[in-house]
Amino acid sequence: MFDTCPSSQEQQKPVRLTDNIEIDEKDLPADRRGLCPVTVIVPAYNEADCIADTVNSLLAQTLVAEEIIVVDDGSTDNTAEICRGLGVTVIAPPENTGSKAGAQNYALSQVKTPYILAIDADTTLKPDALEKLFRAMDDPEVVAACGFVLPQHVNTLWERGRYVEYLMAFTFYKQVQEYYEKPLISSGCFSLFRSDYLRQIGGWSLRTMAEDMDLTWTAYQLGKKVRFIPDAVCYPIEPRNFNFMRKQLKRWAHGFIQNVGLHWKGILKVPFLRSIVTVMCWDASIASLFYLTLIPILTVTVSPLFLLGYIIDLPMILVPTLVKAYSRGETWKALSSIPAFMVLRVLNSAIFLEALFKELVLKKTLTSYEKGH
Amino acid sequence: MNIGLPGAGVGGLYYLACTSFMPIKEVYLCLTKPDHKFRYRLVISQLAIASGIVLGLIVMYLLLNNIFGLDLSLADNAGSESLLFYSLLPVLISLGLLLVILSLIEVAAFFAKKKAKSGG
Repeated sequence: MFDTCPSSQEQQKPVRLTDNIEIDEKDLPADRRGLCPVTVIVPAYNEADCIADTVNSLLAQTLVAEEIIVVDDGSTDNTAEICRGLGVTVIAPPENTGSKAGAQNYALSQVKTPYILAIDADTTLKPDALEKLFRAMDDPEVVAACGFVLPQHVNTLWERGRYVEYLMAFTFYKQVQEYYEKPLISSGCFSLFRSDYLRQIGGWSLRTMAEDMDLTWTAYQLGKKVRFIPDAVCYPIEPRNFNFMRKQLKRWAHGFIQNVGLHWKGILKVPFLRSIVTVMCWDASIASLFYLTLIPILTVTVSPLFLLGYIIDLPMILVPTLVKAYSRGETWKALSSIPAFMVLRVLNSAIFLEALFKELVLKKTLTSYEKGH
Repeated sequence: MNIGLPGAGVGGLYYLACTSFMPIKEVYLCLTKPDHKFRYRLVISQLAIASGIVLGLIVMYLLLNNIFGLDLSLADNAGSESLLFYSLLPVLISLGLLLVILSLIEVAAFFAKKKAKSGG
């Protein structure tokens, strides 16, 4: 019903991309079609359905990457053939690496450019996304930069919930984090890195389920900067059903806990980051516990009015969401998606508490990577 | 990537507080760094969102109060000053909680730094 990003058919020339922007690749000014010293790494496992959209959006960028490498990580479909047909480099490890980070590391040794754009195989970009993101690298202290994330499709309950979550988080929370020069995470689905930095820290880490958070927090501890560029917009495909959403949230929750366990001593040395991680820990654990247990108990034992606890913070969600949605002409879409967000955050809370119990009490660390869609 | 309860809890309050501090930080930067330009657009847009949230929370409170009479029992038994106090109580509790959490982490950071300096 709703798409924020074009399909591959729509990307035939003239290219119709999001935000009402329609461009013809040939019509771009020559000075805006310059080669950019960037290698794009696209890890892919059975992505035949969406990889063409991703590659086409990379080819339609106002700044052209020097090389696009698709890492075909043991796909059993025709992902590799599609990519070769589009004229990009395809490499394949001898066997499935078992994780996105593994596939990205496999490509790292082949990179010759000073910058690397890491993008998921299901993520398309606004035509000027790379150009906007690249400006962050003017500052030599910046080692990573990320952009605004919006779901590519907004149809199912889970996609709608995620749509509101992203509108809210990237319009308010992430902007505040950027102002204080500590974005919590350089999103794994679309981030630009200095190649030297990635090599210095040994590439994408395999030690947690959230390698993007690990990379970001490591950068801060090394005294480096990470930037959030809101004008650089990307559109990943979000989990469309409960099963995929559960897998993704599980990976994120375990990844967060693992990163806090791994970095807590280092985080203590980084002002602002330590505060946002602390309040996040509090909200995710204690607030979730109250949310899922105390409110229902009080509702049953004292008064049904306690159910209002579930909507009391509605303005916190509504205001930033509607501000951004209005500027995109999507006010109704956002408003009608609010209930889906309420459902999503209940699931998010429950999965976080389960992850906390498993990681801290049962000492069962999540180590296997499950795709989120 | 958001975990747990995005939008709720002391986290939201913390971000509101950080936003309120932006103009002060900008003035400080302008005074101490000659080449710093006041980031009007960013600061004003974030302040507008934060103000909208606060206004929305007040409207929400008034609506719930009128529709469900949440404070009626308190209002019946309390004077106007007490009513104001009880109305502000949830906000004060949340702010106090946030202050305690942030203070604890700053104390932990202080001792971690001290330990690192002493080579522990």
